[in-house]
Amino acid sequence: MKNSLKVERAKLNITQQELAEKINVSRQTINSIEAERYVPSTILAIKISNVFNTTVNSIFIIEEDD
Amino acid sequence: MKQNLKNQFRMGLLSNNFKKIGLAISILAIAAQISLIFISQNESKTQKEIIKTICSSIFTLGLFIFAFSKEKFEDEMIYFIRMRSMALTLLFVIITGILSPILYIVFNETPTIRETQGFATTVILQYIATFYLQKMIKS
Repeated sequence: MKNSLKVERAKLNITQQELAEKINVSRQTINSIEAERYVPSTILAIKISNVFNTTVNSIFIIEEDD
Repeated sequence: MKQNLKNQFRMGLLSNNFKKIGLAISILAIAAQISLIFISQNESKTQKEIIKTICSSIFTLGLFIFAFSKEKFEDEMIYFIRMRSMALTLLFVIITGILSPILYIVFNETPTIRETQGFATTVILQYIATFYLQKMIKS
């Protein structure tokens, strides 16, 4: 699964730490999601999309092999 | 029934402070075992063996407390890593359980108390190593 979390974060000009604090996870978790090493749960994906005021689908893009 | 995320990830772990307590117990147990070599010259072999066994048990208990204490930030990724580490440890236990009786038959030996104790320690150490290695790789 691909994601545009880094781009969205850059648009809002917030750090990984700030985003982590907003959705109550560790900075390492945000880093892992951005690096596509970890796929977040539905709840976390919704929380992330709420921060950026957009839909889950526009941040997380499902690939054919998923 | 409504289930929230916190309840879903609840595992009944000890609080983060227990990590330090567990580590301290293990270090003290090792220190006691090392000091035993120098102090107890007059003790009999059986007494030494009893003290050694008790120290090893305390060491394993300390590791157990350390392994099953919460991380500073316990979120869903940590939960995922913990589950995977437990699965890998279970796999290790099953493989060892299958292989060790065969090895005991081949070498015509019977397991001793110390070996059983050592196995429990190895299992916990394997879990701790897998957990922190995965945590390092993920972040």
